[in-house]
Amino acid sequence: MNDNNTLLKVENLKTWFPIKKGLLRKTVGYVRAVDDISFQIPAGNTFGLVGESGSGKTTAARTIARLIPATAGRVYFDGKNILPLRQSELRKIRKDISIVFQDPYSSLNPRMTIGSIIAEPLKVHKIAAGSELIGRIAILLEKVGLSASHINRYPHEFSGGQRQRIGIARALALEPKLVICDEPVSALDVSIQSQILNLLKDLQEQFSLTYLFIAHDLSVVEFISDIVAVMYLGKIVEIAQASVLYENPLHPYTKLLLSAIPKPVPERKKPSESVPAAVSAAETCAGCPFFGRCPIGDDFCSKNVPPLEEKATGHKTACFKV
Amino acid sequence: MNKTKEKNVPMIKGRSYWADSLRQLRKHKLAMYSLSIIVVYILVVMFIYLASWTKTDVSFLDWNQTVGKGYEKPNKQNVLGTDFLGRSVLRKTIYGARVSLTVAFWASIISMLIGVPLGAAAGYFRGFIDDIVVWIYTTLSSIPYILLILAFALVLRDKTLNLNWLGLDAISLSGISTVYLAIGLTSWVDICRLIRAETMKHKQREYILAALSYGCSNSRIIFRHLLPNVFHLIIISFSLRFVGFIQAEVILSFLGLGEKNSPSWGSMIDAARLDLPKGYWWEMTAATAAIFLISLALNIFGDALRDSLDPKLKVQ
Amino acid sequence: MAENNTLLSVRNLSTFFDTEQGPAKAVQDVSFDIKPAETFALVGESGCGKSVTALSIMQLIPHPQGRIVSGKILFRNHNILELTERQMRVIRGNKIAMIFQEPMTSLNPVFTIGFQIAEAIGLHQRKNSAQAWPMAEEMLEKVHIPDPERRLYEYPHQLSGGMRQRVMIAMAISCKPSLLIADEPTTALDVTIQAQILDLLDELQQSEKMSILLITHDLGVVAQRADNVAVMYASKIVEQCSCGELFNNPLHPYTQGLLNSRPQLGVKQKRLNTIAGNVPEPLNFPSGCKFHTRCPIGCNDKRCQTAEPQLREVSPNHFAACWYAEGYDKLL
Repeated sequence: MNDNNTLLKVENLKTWFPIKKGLLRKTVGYVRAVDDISFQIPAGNTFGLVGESGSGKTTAARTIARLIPATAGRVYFDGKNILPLRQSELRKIRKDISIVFQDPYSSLNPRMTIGSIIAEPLKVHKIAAGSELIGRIAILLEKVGLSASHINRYPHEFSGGQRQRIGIARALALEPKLVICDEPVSALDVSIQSQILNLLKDLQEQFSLTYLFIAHDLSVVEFISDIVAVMYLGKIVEIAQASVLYENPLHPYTKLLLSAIPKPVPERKKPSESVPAAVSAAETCAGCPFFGRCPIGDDFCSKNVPPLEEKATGHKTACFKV
Repeated sequence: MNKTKEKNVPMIKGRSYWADSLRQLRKHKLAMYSLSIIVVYILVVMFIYLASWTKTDVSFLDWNQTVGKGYEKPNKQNVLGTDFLGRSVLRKTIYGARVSLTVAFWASIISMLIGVPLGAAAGYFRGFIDDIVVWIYTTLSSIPYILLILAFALVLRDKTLNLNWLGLDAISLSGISTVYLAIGLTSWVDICRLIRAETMKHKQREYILAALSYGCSNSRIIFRHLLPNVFHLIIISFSLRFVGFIQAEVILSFLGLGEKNSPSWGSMIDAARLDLPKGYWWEMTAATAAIFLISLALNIFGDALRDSLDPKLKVQ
Repeated sequence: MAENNTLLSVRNLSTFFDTEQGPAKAVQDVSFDIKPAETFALVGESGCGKSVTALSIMQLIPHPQGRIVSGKILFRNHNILELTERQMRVIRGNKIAMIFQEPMTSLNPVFTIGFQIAEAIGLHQRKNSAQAWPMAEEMLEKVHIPDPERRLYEYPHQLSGGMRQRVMIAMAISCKPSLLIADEPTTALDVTIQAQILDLLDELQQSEKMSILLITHDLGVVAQRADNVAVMYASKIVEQCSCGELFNNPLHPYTQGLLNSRPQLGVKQKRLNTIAGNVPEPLNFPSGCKFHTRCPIGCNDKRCQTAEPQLREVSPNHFAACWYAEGYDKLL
């Protein structure tokens, strides 16, 4: 079932947050942040997870990294289900999965020097010490395009793009197999975004990394990803090879997202192409989560949840109308 | 190969927040004057201890000596006058710094030692531990503060603390240690609350998530990542609450629960209270001025410290 | 100098911030005109001075660190920099309104939506609350908030980000301003919501005949919404022209770099084009042309390194601040 090439395989993963009310904190319901998602990432590939805010993409990533407890499901990393592992067993896995965070300002400890920030993972796992450690930090800094002379400086002395490079160096310190990139460029300036995206691509080639790349920007995801999955309110609504998905989007939500991207073509847009508003996770009906905004949904969609089905080879979507 | 590389690269020294803050603080003239006043007080107290350990007789520290008639007005010989036994008010005031500062120092240390770990643990682990800590401090803080200190002071007075289980000698509690124990044990609530709130805030930051993601243990996260980020709050609170502790000691001594065998500002005020209507104003004035000066200096310095240390108040 | 059909004319505006390390020159010598009922876009990256320009127009520069050092801001031919704070308060909100990037923090969380809009109306139009509330409802309807009657009694946290931005717009246009300054109005929003908000602004511009000063970092947003564009870099305008001209014939290497560095939808790219280096900070701008450290031609050019090019008209109505604006393509 597991072909050898698959590095990460997620099956029916659910992360529900209880809504607690009252004095006794009784659970009155759940926010289904991640609701039954399945996908797999072949080693060396980049898997793009796209969705708007509140779609559960960050929660999914943090659940996979075991930072948030999963409600149900299985996450196979290198063929081994990591969800039931205890903290002590998890430490080995933590070396192989690392995260690049969104906010380059809050993701680096402001009281630590760049050198000690990058050294932390190596120290925690007792991999290197002394001059060997410093040597490794210097190499890492140079790999991400910074000078080794910055080792003793502090995060606040760097710009956003440079800080993100430091975050990447820290993520690579333990030579991980899987790097989860959680919106790594969305907080950066336009001219810096492309630098970081190129850097991530170069590093992938150099260290044969596998990426789980999370973003809300479809054009960024298209550039970096091999496979793309679109999430909406905790579910994957469409999944396909990047080229296929962008050429032939099937799900109405994917189409909506693609049409909403402002194109750098100077002609006045007609305001008639309006887009229906988003609903929150709590307001969804019994049927298709996208029903409230869907231009083609009908009565049947409002009562039944469409399953994620293969509509063409390697192209799955969750819509009755396709 | 690594080694050669590392030697070739000229290291650029970074500017830490601490260095930045100190530079800013040094520019604050008033704060520097205040600091020098505080240092003078501390030096005086250290000198008193040094003299008593080495059994050196220093005449102006001999507060018990009769230097004149009773109730002598401030004059050339006795700059601040004398008390009812003819002892020098100046010497008493100087010697009084010992009790005040010792009490405030140990009370601060005790309240930090209780408040900081509890606050950090509650804020970091949340859940059950948080519930217990919050329960304890809300209970404590719902009792009127003075009454609580009084209760502790009365219970602890003239007791012997058996510390054998800690591998230490037994400590008999006498005046001064009763006072700082009572104050310290009752006043950790504020700092605990502060550290708890700040820890909770920092726990949400991505750098803590990052530390968790590469397998950092909880204790390492607390000590290496969280505490350095809230440490400035501990220092600020130390300097600002020091004043409160000095005053608490005065109140306790005034109420007769403080140190009895040597002068303190509180017992001086207590003694002078009855003399004041008779026109003997100097003892009261001297003690009050001593308190006022250190309180003012500590407040100004504490505020300046807060301005320079707190990154929230930094102008970008 | 300002023509009669100019609504707002900014002339040689410079705004500095005092810091410990000396004055940070956030905006230097910025000039542009906004005509009635047009959308003028100010594009640039963080720290380029675009938001400070907007705040200077509103005279909301934080005191005492920030100060407008020189220049004029002519609103209907009156220099509003000479007005007293009292007179300025009449202009602010009434004639010039502003919406901000973060709709969560620009609404007061302890008051209802209705109260906040009614307050804005009451302040500027001398209406009592009985008159203002129906007007508030009308405004909500105008910005297409469904079920406005119920929303009036809701608090900001009960609304989604897009809805909050609509409320902000409702407040801003409630006094029929002739200029709306929109500072990154859609940056915090999802793409689908962004499209809605921009559509709404378009529609309101048509119906209310107001001018919009759109401040953004996203050239994609600019392309389909703006009439005229100014690109800012390191406190100065480096290129200014009509929107079509900017995208079809960008002259400044920075503009060209920005346009090229975006990943393009539907085009498979192996690598992205980049602009090298980092965005400079106001305290240590490079010498000469501020872009020369990141510029593919300027980095080796003596003139670019030492002398700062001024904004000049390269072709009719197309201004650029680059020594090589005419012959840039030939050099590469």
